[in-house]
Amino acid sequence: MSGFFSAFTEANLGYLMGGLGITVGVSIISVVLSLIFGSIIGIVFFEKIPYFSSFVGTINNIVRNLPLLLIIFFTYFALPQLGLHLPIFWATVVAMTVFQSAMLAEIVRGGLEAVDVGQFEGARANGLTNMQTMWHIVLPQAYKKMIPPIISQLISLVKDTSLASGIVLAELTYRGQIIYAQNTNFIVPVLVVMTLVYFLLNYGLSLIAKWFDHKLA
Amino acid sequence: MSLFEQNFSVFLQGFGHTLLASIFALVGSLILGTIFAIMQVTNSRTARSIGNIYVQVFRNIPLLIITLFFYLAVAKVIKMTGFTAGTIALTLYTSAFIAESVRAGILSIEAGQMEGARANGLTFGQAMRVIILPQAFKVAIPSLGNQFINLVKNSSILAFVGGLDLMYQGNIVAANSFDTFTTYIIIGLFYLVITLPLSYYIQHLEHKLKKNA
Amino acid sequence: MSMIEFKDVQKYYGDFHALHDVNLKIDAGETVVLIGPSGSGKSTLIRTINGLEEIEEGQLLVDGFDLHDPKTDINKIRKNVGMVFQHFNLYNNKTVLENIMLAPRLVLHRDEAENKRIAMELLEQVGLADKANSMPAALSGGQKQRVAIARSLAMKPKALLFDEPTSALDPEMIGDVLDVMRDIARDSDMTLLVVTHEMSFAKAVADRVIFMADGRILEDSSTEAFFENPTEPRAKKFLSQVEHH
Ligand SMILES: Nc1ncnc2c1ncn2[C@@H]1O[C@H](COP(=O)(O)OP(=O)(O)OP(=O)(O)O)[C@@H](O)[C@H]1O
Ligand SMILES: [Mg+2]
Repeated sequence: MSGFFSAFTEANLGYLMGGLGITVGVSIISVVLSLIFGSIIGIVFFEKIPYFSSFVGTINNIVRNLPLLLIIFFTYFALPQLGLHLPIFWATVVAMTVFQSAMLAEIVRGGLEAVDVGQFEGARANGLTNMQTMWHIVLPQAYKKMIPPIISQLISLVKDTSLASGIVLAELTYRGQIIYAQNTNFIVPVLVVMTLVYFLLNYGLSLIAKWFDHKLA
Repeated sequence: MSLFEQNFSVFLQGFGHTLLASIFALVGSLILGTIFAIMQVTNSRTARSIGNIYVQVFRNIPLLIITLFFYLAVAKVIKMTGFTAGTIALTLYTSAFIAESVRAGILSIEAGQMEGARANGLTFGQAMRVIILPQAFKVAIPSLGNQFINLVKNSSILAFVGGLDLMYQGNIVAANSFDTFTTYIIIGLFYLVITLPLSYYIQHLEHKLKKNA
Repeated sequence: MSMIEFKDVQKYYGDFHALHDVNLKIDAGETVVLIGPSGSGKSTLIRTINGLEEIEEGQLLVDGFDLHDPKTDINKIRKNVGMVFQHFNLYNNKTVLENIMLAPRLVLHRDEAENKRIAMELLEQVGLADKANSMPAALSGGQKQRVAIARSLAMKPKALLFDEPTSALDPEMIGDVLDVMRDIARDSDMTLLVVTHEMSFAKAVADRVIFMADGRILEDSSTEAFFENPTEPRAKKFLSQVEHH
């Protein structure tokens, strides 16, 4: 048992927690960005603009149906071939944002479709423009219903950030690998602690989602 | 296209491993997921707790951690290849999500179905098997389909443990050819061959279900 | 001067011919009741007037604007033509007061203090001043409908359209809403077009009654003439049916 804990020197623990900071940082920046882009794409779907909506829809489907790992590798290793060099952190954020925007776009579209048509008609008949109707009436109602699925996406992001260890982003999982690379006895202890950290973070988030679910039901 | 031709057999091998891992994991996670879903709706508190804990734990930790655990720790005790370790991890991870889909399906079936079957003399197990589950799966098909798509995409985790899958082979071809861009595009197309038709089929099913509702 | 004028209007839903050769003129200040069996096209007709449904052929002049002209800015018409719906369509995410104040603020850029004063006055008028800060979900159907009427009135429209405003209400709520509508008809010089099955309301308030069936206007007569001696056999049959309920 003492062997178990010897993996966790103060230095190693601090190092791991720093990794957690990067994991959380990437996740939060990505979820905010994907919320913006995902909303725009979701509205484009919803508005059914001739040709444009189905074109965007096809691109979105392609992105959604690719492995995130491939998108991460592509962003970091292939884009430089086109002259676009991104630092590891931002390559991860870009890849995550592209992937999550595609996911969130579907959620936003679903949220918009769930808003009663009466809300649109009431606002339009009341003299509001399309934009005003969206912004003041429809989106606030749609977002309220979307809070739980958005939190689920945040959980996915926290988990998926571990994939960026593949491009050597020094997030939690990567730092764990560095620690047990020094001493193979540390493998199990480090994996167990990483499991705990991810679990507590994500389970906490899922409880928040559940709370909203109840409140909104 | 010469890069594609030169490495055709490598890509094909990767595609084969991806497909194989996906099919193994699909079958495994369907079985496991259904078991855990049923555990979550039984009257036994122990069974419910075990089912809940399993689902919560595997849903909330990264697939990579599970994969590394099997590849680095379990493989020390029981010899296994990266492919096997990755496929097991994929199965366990996916089964938690499938359990959720199946459970939602079961809960959507009105209580009267179970009561009717039990009043009719069927045991809980029989009622589950012949009355509830067939209806529940029908409801859960779109969501199960989405889980399968996720599974295929997630199988790229094998690349982390030398699992010989598409992603792994792609990385090797990319490193050798220096044409990372083309290589990853080709790899992407291979994934899309599996996932895109499935995805459109699910959208079609969902559309049909919505219309009937 | 006519406020609303249909000239040979045709409306299709796909292949379905929903409005057939509609010709109709409603003068400013008139109160007109539109009746007809279910599916006859009453909602369709009334919804074309504020552009919630588009017409395929003919001319539809509202407040001098041609709705069939693509150059017409539909928002200009909606500013002056209010609508009250069967299912209220209050903004679920706004309080009662905000429901009333939103469009005047966004569309008319009405001064905030003035906006609030007018909104409160209207709430008094419909008897719901004490509900100003409630959410729509906390109101009964009859209360919702009275708020919806206040919301429309806040825009100070020239015309107000009602599409079966009492059909979704419990019987004991209907009276309150009809009272509010009756007051509007009596006290204002707005043009009112009301789809309803409340025949006593029609008799008491309407200047004219229009009867529709199968997407056509079959009868267009003064209120007395219509109720005393409808010319159309179908109108006769319809009247005897609704009056038995
Ligand atoms: N969006 C639509 N798409 C296709 N058909 C429609 C649509 N809206 C209405 N219709 C059809 O047009 C006809 C007229 O409908 P409308 O709603 O105007 O009737 P109504 O007189 O208001 O009936 P009710 O008294 O039931 O409200 C009906 O046959 C209806 O099925
Ligand atoms: Mg109607």
